[in-house]
Amino acid sequence: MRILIVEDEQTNRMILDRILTSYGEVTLCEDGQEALDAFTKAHSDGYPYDLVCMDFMLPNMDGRDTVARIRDMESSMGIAMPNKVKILMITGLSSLESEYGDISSLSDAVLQKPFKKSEVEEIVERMGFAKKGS
Amino acid sequence: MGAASAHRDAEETVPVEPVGELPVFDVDRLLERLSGDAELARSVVETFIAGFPNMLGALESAALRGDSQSVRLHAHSIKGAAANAGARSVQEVSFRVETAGSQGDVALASNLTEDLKKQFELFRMTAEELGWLPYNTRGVSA
Repeated sequence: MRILIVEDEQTNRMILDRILTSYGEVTLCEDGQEALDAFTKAHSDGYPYDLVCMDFMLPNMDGRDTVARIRDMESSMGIAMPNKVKILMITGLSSLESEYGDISSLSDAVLQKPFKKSEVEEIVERMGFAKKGS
Repeated sequence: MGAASAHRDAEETVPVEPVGELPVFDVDRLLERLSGDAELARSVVETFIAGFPNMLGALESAALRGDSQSVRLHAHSIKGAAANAGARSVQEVSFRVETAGSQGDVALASNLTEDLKKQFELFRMTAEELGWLPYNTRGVSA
């Protein structure tokens, strides 16, 4: 399993990395463009990501726009459900819809910050992933 | 309901107490969030303390430029990092800076940033006194 973590804040990145390394191979990115580059390269290498953990508030290109670009790229590559990458949107804002519009069509799950380790594990496992060796 | 109170309602995890009544370093909450992983908790605290000067610098630069949206973004990042590290009073003050930024009030955000530095220094000293830091780390001048 390959996981792409997109988070500009260092402590969140560290915590997610530590938790999700138990599930698969992790790539860390700090902004949306870096994430798109990694996503494209993974497909070119024939070893795409299974899960993208995307912070919502990112500098330059926010999480919503980055996810929209990822979905556009998948469409242009002819990738349809259920083969699209799973998206876990991470946010410190609980009322996303009120401020940013509906993101449910773009993400498979939403994780609220600050999060607990157990919450991350629960959501990831509910999305169908299991720890390595289990 | 005003923008500030609406925003506060949206932030479920932000404490509502006055800053002085919040724990400077909430070790129990920190460990509970990380399922008791003390090694990870220590790394998070060290990373927060080491990274704070850069985050603060970015916040102050945004305020100097009068860029309220960047003020909001950088304060939001500090708030998240502080929450992860159990720095409750830093979390609360950075939330106030974030709110000021979202309302376009850069002058208020700048004033609150001075308090943010003080709360961070309190946190750093408390973490050090409690043995959470491996060596003396340089503080931030208030």
